[in-house]
Amino acid sequence: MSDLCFQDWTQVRAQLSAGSLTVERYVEALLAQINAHDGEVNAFLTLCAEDALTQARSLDARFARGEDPGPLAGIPYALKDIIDTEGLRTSCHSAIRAEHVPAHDAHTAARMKAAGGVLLGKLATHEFAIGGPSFDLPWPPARNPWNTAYFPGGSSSGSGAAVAAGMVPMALGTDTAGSVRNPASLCGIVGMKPTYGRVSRRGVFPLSFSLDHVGPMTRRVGENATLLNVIAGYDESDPGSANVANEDFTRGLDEGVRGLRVGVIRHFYAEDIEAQPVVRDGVDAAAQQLARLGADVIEVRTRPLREYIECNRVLLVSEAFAVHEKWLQERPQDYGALARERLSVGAFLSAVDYVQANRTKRALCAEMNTLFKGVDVLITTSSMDETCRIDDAVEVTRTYQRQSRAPFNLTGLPALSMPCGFDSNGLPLAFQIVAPAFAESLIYQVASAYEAATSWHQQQPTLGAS
Amino acid sequence: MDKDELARAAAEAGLENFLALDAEALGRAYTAALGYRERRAVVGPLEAEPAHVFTPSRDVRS
Repeated sequence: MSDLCFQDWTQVRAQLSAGSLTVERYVEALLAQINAHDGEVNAFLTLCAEDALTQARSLDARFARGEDPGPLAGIPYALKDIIDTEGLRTSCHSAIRAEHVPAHDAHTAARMKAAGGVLLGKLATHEFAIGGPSFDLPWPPARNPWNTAYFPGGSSSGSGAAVAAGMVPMALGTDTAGSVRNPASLCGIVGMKPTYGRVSRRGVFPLSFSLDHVGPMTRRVGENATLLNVIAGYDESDPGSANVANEDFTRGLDEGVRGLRVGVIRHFYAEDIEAQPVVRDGVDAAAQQLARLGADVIEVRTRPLREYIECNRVLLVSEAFAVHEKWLQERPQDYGALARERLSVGAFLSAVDYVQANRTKRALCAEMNTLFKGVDVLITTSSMDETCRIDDAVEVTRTYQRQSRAPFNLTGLPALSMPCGFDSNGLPLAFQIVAPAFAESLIYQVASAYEAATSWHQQQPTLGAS
Repeated sequence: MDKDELARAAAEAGLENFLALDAEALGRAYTAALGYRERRAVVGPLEAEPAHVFTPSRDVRS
């Protein structure tokens, strides 16, 4: 295992500019990590080793000429395989799209390419971002690098696994009910679901038009904020894109939390869906840590968690069935069993169910936003349980639904998951930080202060030991 | 839910192929949908709601 593979990519970027490291060497180190361990982790569906090395040499030549090829120049990344890449298969981890080669890059893929990033490949996902972990698809499911017998979360499972395993320093995932934050939580990395509209979804295969988000996944907070700087921005071709000013999301990283008001939505995990003690204690300890750093921490209450989750689910499955209706009618056998069943729920909901869910959504948005009259940010759990084994289908299904991520898809509020400990099996624990719409910088400010005061992010999995 | 009810629902949704492939799974999907409907939250009085234009990027700032 190379330390280079786990190094802060913003520091690596500085070494590349200074000429103390070449892009080629960096890419080779990551490819070696992938070749050594992806046989057990299954993070990659497609690897672009030769193209990456060619691009690396080209970037090295530009660095040698004193050029600045962009903020991500020479930094490798990979993308969840529902994000279109020009000329490179984008399969949605499904037999249905197994041969699909997009003609254009997704908006986010184009931005990372233009910023000089080096695409290493496409990553495992739950089928169409909903059906997984599945063992009846053309590719196996990704596994948790901390222990490959365990579930890595989903649906951006390969993104979480690849970043945690030191195969890439950054990846993109998508999040409709928690699919960036769940694998970030279970794999012990940082995952941001930005505000709805902050990052364009153009070129991303839709799961739910009104709930889908694209988000950055990294091992550290500063890396995450720097990557969001690259992918955020208005895109008129995404009807949900918000025309708001660009900003530097790293600006508050060193400002600390003294005087900030932090609201803990404790009833989500202490009453509504009772979390396992180790999870509950992890979030409570994170709150106490923020208090020790000078934040004013208070407990706040909103509507019961189930109301947010159920409303989110009705909208999600209704819109998802609208996307998949024709394929489900004509070729259901080409889906994996999990995606087929989950997508079909929407077939049996009515227009009235959908409209009422939208009305409920408005009420819940208003309710959640009211909390910010009294606090600057919110914190709560991410998952409610210790991570389970990937082959325990009953437990995967049971624990997957016990979460507090979906409220922030429904409300569109930015929410970040970051590590706050380890469970009894040595797998990561996590909590969420949530802010008002378009206040991602505030989340990064709080997350950075917490990260600086703790050492969870310095741990890394021992691959090959499972 | 009996077999006829599921068959009718599958036919209305155009999911006869799915029914033939895995009736048990389709039955679970149907039951899940009924559950969501039964647990549907009560929405407020109409006069308390603004005009309904579902633009989610505005919703987050409502």
